[in-house]
Amino acid sequence: MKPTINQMYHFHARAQFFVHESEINPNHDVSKMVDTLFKKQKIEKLCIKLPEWDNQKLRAQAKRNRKAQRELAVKKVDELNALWLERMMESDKGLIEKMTLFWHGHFACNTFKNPYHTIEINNILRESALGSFKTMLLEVARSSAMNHYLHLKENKKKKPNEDFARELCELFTLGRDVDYAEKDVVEIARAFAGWSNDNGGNHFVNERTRDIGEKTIFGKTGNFNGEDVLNMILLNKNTAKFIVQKVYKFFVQEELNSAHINECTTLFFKSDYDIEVLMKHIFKADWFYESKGKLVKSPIELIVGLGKLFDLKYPNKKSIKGIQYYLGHVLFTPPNVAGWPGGRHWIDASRLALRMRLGSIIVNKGYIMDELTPELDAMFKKWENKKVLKFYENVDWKLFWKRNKNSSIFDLIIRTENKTLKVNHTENTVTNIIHLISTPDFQLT
Amino acid sequence: MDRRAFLSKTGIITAGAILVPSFLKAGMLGENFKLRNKRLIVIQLSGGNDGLNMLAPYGYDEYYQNRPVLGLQENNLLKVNDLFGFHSKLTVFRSLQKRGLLSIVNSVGYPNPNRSHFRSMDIWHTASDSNKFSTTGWLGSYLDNNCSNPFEAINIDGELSLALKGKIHSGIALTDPNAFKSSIDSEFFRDLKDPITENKELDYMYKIFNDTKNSADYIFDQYKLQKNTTDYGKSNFEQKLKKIATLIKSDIQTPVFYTTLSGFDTHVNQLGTQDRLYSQLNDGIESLISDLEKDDLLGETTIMVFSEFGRRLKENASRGTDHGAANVMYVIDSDLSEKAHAYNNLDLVNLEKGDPKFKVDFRSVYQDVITNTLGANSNQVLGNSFTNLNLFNR
Repeated sequence: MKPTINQMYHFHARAQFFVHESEINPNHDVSKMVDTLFKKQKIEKLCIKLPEWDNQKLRAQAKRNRKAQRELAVKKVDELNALWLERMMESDKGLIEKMTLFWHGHFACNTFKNPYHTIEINNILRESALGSFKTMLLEVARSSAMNHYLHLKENKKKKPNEDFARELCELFTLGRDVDYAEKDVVEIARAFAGWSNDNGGNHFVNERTRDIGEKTIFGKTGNFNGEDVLNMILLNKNTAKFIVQKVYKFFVQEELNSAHINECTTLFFKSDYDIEVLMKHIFKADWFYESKGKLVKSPIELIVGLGKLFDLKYPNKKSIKGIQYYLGHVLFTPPNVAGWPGGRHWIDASRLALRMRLGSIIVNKGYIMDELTPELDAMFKKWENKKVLKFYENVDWKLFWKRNKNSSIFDLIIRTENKTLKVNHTENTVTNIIHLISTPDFQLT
Repeated sequence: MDRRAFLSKTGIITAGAILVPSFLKAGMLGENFKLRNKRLIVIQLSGGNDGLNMLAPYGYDEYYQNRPVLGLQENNLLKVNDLFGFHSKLTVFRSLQKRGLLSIVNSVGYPNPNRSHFRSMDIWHTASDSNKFSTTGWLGSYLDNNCSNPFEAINIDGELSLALKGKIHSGIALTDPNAFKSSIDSEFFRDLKDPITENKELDYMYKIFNDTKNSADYIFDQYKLQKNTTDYGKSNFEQKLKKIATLIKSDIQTPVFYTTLSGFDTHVNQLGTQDRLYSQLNDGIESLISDLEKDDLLGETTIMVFSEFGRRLKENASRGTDHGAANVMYVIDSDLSEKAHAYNNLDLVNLEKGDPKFKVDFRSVYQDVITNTLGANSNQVLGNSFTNLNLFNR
């Protein structure tokens, strides 16, 4: 299939947040366009300077000066937050980072107090983002971050803690109440008893707290350990289905189409959980191109999309975290282990008002037209004076027009088919751009 | 014939029909739309309020045994009875209690308590069991089943609480009605036309957009109706309560108000922190009560105060207390029943991991408030029924 320019914009928006016209090759067919983007991806680990990870030493330090230690840790995670956003905006990482963002919501793990855990699990997700889901699942189960978050360390033979076992089935693999019952959760917890991490964060199984007794899981009896359980779960096709459904909701649309889901599930399961195979299939499917403009952007998509559109740097870490906070999507801080609910949940009256103002606040000091009410003016002044929240950035308009010479800016910026809006914004002017990023339409991708 | 029937009869009804500004719909409903019941104000104490030092069980030996440093001395307390006394800053709680306007519901919680702030707050917000994840708040569910405008639940805070998020309808969060109006008010926004589209998500987006504009206008218009001359303290929390009172006095058609006071996570040196927070809480509620009484509105209002969990009975080594479980909550109302005063019970001997065990499920309190204050079907809202506390004389 030869895609139209609008279909190309749609693919790139979903796969890597946004591209300019100059980054598109109009001669590509769908297959070539998709394969080219996959080939271009570079995995670069998220990394900042931190003292060596030594839990015992850190704990000893924490005892001496708990507050300072805590504040430093949160500050480091904020640094990682800004760094990740930067990565998402880089031209050879859009897809891999978008995938990582998806997995970050799937294997939701709140690590905002611990930069070591943040780096550890985020890199696990990145390394396998387009690789094997099997590898990712095992690595996550062994990670110090998830171990800590779901109290796996407290899961001992004599005193099992079912937290991890339950979320493993309900949220990470099979889906709520699919092919497992409460008694399976109890037995799975036993199989994972003793899973722990040493002071350097490395996985090991604690001989004293493990449970080598016989267990009955999914109707089978044996001396199962944690790995055995993961394999049994992966042998169930419903695990593939659950993952496909979540991918579909994130990359295609909220409303599930059972034919599309079944077709992807069979493929994903047959490929032994190869994520790249699944994603290529989705991006090359005709039905993917019918979903244009039907997904609500997550706040991170909105922020990164705007960033790529105008080449923003988001220099102030506090401000950018502030926006994430007000829009309900702070990286490394999912609301709970179920992740961000997404879709229409991103939108409520107050958030929509801020989302529609966000673009103009950043690139035009809050002006959509020439109006600025005293209250709004006072609000911006207060932000600027406090130097706490600083949003305004200069846009290099020359560069912008150079990158987008021939395309209509409506097609470049807006994914919805809204004729009423389109007829009023046919001219390629800065005013029209600021209008378009201030519409309800811009909230969708 | 109403507008919707008219539109469908004349064939004008399209996907855009749901975009009829809901504020207009509200206006057209006229008298029917008038609030039939009371208003509810929810005050959330964030961080895990230490109920044991708020309403000190001075008659219990275990209290002083476990809190040799932090235990409040009997002679400093505002005594409620032979067992309990309020923290000295909480004068208005004591006077409301004397007047029979305060129900103290003690040992409130839920089975399998979670000691994480986020998770426990989620549980209180969604009214779900502690092992279930829900994305809908209990007041959001009330909105879904009973309301059609965002302004029917106003959260005076920077962000909307999960409690006020429904599947279809959500409340509005704002810190200031003027700033909120200007955030959504511009010539461009006013001129934006609804799309003609088959795209349901786009329809939804414009619906929320229109609702937001109309609600912002309505709230702004109500807010400026009259100047509120009642004195409130300068603290942010007291000013938030003043905004709520000002809106209520304008006869705004909003059954639910919500606001928070934060800082209760008192792991370290908690006595000073509590003095400060309880002063703000007390003075804010005192001003609010007298403000509402001036206009004879207290009889139409219920105030509920809660926190995500209480704190450990045993104090820690940093003159503070750690995360606990069951806690005390309050319902202020002019129409409380005899029974409303029978729930101040506490057991400091049989503990669960060092915390008082829960005796009253918090959803029982919600249930009473949904039924009696909001006049709604609590089974529909909570998806379940809980023990009836009969707090009210209605």
